[in-house]
Amino acid sequence: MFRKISILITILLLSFSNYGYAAKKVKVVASTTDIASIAKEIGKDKISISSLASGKSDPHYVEVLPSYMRKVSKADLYLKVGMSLDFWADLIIEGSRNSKLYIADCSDGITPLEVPKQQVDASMGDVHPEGNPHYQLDPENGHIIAGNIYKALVAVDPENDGFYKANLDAFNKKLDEKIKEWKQKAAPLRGMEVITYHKSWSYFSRAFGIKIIDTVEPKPGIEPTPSHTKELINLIKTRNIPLIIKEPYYSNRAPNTIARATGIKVLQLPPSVGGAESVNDYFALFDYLINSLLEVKEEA
Amino acid sequence: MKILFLSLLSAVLFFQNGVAQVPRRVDISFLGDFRLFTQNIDGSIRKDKPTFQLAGFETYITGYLNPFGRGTFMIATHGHEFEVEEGYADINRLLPWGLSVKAGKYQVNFGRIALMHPHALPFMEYPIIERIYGGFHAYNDMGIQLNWMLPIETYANLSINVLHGDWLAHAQSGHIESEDIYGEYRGTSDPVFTSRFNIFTGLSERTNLDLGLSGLYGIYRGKDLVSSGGRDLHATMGCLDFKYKWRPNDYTALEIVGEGVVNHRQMPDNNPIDNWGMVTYANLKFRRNYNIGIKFDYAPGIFDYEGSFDWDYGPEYEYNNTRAGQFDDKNHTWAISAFGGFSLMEETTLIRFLVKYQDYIINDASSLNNTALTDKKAELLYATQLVFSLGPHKPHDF
Repeated sequence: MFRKISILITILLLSFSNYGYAAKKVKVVASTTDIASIAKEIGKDKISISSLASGKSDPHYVEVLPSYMRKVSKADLYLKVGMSLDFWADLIIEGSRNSKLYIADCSDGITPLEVPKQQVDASMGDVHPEGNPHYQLDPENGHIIAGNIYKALVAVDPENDGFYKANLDAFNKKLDEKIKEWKQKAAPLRGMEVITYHKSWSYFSRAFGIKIIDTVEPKPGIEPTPSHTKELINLIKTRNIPLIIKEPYYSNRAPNTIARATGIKVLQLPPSVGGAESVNDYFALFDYLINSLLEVKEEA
Repeated sequence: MKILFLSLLSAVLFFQNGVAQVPRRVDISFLGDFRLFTQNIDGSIRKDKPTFQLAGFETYITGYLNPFGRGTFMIATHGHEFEVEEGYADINRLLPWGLSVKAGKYQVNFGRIALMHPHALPFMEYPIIERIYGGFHAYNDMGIQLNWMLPIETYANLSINVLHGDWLAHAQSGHIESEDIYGEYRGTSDPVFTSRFNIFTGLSERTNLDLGLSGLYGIYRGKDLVSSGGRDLHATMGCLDFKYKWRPNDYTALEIVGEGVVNHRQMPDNNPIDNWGMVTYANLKFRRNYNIGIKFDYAPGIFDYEGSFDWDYGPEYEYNNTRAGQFDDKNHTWAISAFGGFSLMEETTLIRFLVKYQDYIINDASSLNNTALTDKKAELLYATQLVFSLGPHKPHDF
């Protein structure tokens, strides 16, 4: 009997010690799945990570839910995309009432594309004053994001600096190898002309030499208009453009109208981790994007 | 004079924002509410005539005060006078244990609907119960609010307000747009207390439910007022509210919202009055920029527009048959409304439509302004609204 009780107490103590260990993990919340995926590579088992926007949702329009505030209220670190993409995160952070939260902006050090040269106003559509915020789609920017996450993790958990540094180095090394591989593989895509739905793909196209000729949206964040759709149809016919790239969360209506009129292919591509079945991390995202585009190229 | 003062204030804020050596960002928005409507109300000089109305103009100023909280001002006019609708500071990220505090003049969280300004609702005006029990601005008051986020897995918040009591004073007196931001006299300086507990839970990945329970206790008419009969008269109110939301994708959502209020008032003759009212609506948002819905109102008292010059100025004007519907337990107003909206661009431009059928149940006309009234025709209203915002404050949340 005594032995049984001893075993039971030991198990209970071990459970508590495990609980205590788990509780020491740095609790990280990220705005998007891309940031969360890279954070996981740097923090590994020393952090618990979750993201608010899912890979299939539009990162511009995330609903500010009380449950997100509750989640952030328990976090040690919040990782923002920045450049006004996740402006909704400010409301969630405020609502979390978490006075100890460390907030990191992962866009620090990014060289932005499409920074407006004049003062931004609503006549330009939903233009971000800081430039195009979809910087995660240039894999070179993965290094900068990872560096920002590393600095943030060290700020909240300096004891594990060495651990995070080793993971950062390993991530950067793997990313360099993959970039080399992706660039070689994507060589046939260089010069390929495409239409995109939204300006999500500017960094990606720069990285892999794809030419974005126009967007389905007449201006960023503005629904397709009949006159602009007509212009696009003429443009596609004139230049024989083979492909429209559309994010999963945008309507098929305008792209399908254009496709019926021109025969152009409409390809749904996820700009974020989790946006398609097999896209489970930052590396898989680029594998998926390049393979999908190569398939279209071969078909054409 | 007041317009001049506000213009100068706005100019100073803009100037500071632009050229100060250490600029601290303050978001300033100007919001206009323009309407075209027609109605079939007997006695109205505008019966069956299209009518244009600049129904409201708001200046919304907000910014961080420090790393832990922000300050907000909402200055508005609805036809005649400028008024500070809201002016408060809230500290969200300083206090421990999930506490936050708000102080100033603000929309009180009694129920959920009064928290929003009318332009942020999917229909054009506050539901009738908000107007009956709260007045033109619904439950707007000065005071201090303490919030506590409970340390449990699910989001749950307990909120307590200690209020000056303007809300009860406005509602019972038939408050006309007041220049006095320091409140009205209830015949007592005792505070009014309200609380709200709400819990938010996800029912599935795409659906969630928010439930709220609110209460109020305070003197609505103090013994210093002649009409009190020489003693403090207390009001006790309760409110149950819910919001169910199903969001199958980023740009489509169905929300069903309901709010029911029970009201108990002590009276000078020792015969207390008990009554209740409710509102419920369903709103379908689709294709990011569109919405369509239906609303049902049921409220105590005769809340009418009879003879009113502008259709949207309800109990504040003397035209109503019940000056204070919260004391009427015999007669009722009900309405059914269909509404829709389209946003050209979410942050700046919104066009809305409303068709409202409103009818009355008159059982006892003795408490009405017109004590001879035994029957009253139903009324029909058609309205179109353009809400436009210059600045980051959104006219409407899609």
